[in-house]
Amino acid sequence: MFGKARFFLTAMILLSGIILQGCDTSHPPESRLKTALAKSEQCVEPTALMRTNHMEFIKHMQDDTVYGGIRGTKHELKACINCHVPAASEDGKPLNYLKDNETGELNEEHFCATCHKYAVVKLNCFECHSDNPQNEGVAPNTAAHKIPALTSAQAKGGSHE
Amino acid sequence: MSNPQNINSYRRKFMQGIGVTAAAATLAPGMLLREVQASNKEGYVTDKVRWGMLIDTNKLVEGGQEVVNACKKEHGWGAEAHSNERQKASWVRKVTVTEKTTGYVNQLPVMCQHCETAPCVDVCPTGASMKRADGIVLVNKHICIGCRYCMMACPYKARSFVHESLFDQHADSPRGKGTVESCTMCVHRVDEGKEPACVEASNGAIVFGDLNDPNSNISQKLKAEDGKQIRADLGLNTGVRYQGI
Repeated sequence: MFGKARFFLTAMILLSGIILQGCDTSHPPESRLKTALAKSEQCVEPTALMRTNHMEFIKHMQDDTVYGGIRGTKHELKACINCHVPAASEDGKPLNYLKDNETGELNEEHFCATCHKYAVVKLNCFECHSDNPQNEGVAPNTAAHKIPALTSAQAKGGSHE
Repeated sequence: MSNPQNINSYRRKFMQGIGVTAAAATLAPGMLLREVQASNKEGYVTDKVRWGMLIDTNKLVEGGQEVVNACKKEHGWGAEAHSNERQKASWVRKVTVTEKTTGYVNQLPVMCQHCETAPCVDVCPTGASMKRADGIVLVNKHICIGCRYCMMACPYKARSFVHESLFDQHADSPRGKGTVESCTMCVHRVDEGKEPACVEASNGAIVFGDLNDPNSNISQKLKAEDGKQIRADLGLNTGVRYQGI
């Protein structure tokens, strides 16, 4: 009885060893992370916490933004992109998450894609959200056309207190 | 063969079932009405304000072409390369109406009317179609499954479905394949205390403001000059009102 179990266990360990052999043990290339590493000290949370929990921060922020109209906080996806992704790669082309829009191949030069490609993460943030800070300011909000006598606090609903 | 006792118990169960179904049908309309309640959460928008727009069609240039252009520029819709004309996104469109007896032709921009009792919110099976506490009707695209029920329910034909993969979206206006979208009353700008892009581009033809505040520009103008709802007969209490139609 136990012999059978031990055999099974040994077989499993051996098998997983064989399977893992095929995996690439190399880490994401450091050179690609130049921008990220340069800014890791200034990040809103410690690097180790961000590495494991960034998706949780973003997920909580999405509800606060959609339902509560809370914008411009430190855990916003837009803030991540604006800080970590340069508008253009070294050859001057816009730096997008996907290298090829048709095949869906990830662009390892993009900060998010660097690790996601390595960890084989499939995410859909950038199916809707902007993956590049260059789109910031495309909208004509430079005119800063403020509503007369309406501050941001009042806009949140404090005007009749 | 089943005995009479069994038949009686079946009959009782059946009658009970009818009772329960009838009770559910009576309760259902109230239960299904989904609305975001005013939240106590720190910093959330509240129902103390209700945003609205008053559009004076007589002051619009070319029936509101500049309004449509400003919306396209702000949100980046309308340039879907693989969609045909009927599939392309349309957050705001120009509608031409002709008075049959006189031949008078009028044009007005029609977008999401931000109804108080929005049919799109009622029918949404996932709760993605929602009304924010401050009256702005939105699609929460994180949970939208693209069933397009809301498009069917909307009496104003205000919503569009994205048929193709999109790239290079604007940072403040996330849009993507498989979700429904419509006018957001430029919610990202309103949250920052700014006016919607169309209001800014309209040279005073559109007034934006708080319908709950009797001293706001829009409330004063509505009180003095009145404004019409499109399809007022539906009793949806729209946030967008018109003059000159």
